Amino acid sequence: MELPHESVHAGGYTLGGMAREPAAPAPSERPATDRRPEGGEPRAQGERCGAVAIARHAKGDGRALILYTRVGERE
Amino acid sequence: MSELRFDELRGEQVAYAIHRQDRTFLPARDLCPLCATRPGGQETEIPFPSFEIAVFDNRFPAFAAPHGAAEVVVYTDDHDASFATLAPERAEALMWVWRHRYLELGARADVEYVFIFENRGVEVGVTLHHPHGQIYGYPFLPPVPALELAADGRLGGCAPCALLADELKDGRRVLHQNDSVVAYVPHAARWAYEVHVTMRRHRASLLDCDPEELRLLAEALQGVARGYDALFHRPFPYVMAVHQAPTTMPAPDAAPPSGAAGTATGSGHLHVEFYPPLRTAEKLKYLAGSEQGAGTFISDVLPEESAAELREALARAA
Repeated sequence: MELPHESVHAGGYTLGGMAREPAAPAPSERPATDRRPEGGEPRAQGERCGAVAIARHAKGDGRALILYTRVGERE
Repeated sequence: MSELRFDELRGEQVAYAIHRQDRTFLPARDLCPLCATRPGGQETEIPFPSFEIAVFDNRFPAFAAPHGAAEVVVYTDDHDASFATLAPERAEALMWVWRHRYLELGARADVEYVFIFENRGVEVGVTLHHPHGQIYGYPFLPPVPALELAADGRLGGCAPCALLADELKDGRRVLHQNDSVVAYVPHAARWAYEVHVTMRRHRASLLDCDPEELRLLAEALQGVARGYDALFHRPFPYVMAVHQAPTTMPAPDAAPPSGAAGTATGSGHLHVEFYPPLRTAEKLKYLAGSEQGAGTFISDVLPEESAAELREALARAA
């Protein structure tokens, strides 16, 4: 069996060591930042991941809600 | 909340999430909790009049902090759409959403494996018809990704890389390929129309993919989903499972041995597996005695034959 491929990792995968870092706050622990606009789509607040803008909200019961909007630009 | 019990006989965890017994079950269309909230209407899970892609904590989670996570990913506010019918730009954006959730959930100390998936169709247990997927952040490494890592060790390198090379060399089961992604019915498919969509280059996760690879992954996944719908001229049920690297560093003594030169070891390889329960247009494959009691699938269709049917269906749907 052939094993030809391009290797980008030589060992266990660490996501750049992220698993070693302190955990991000659980969604329910995030500050409540309800940015719900009146009668329209939520505005992006500047956070991005590649082609999508990220708008974070907290629901009434504390659960996290994230809205993603395509912005067409990339990382 | 959920309780984990370890089944010593099988060597695997079982999660008890008894609160899920009362979760919303196939509500009427006007009561869909995944639609946008209509002005003056009852508030849904997404309290906005429109949206593109929404992710929220599952109201009935199988896992929750500080012992994992369960999220819902709503693909669109169009109740009647499907993953297959999303505009290509939306499907591409969904890849970025998946990537972002993998990054955030994977960074949590209580999440060892981020599993992105979609259940489509009542045949696989869907309880809401609105197009959506889910993400589980498991507080342990589940059996299937553990088996894949074990395959790396058995084959002496990245198993998906090796299997993809074999599929490309054989060619009979390949359905679709582009510069970054190959879709094929695997040599030992368990389901009649099982398809694997694998990154050509070794990419442990979505985080390793460049924007063009994400675009081409979305294109290939949609191509498969459309081909499925074209196969029997009906909405095709499936489970779509995104397999990526675990997000917790394996213990030093758990790392598989180094493989052939240039191969990654034990790192996982991004690929997406489709498990459709249909074996004909009207017959379901059930997991019965051999599958459940002995763990051996008995399939009624040779992968080479189903691949030929699917190739034709994908071409019709293109």
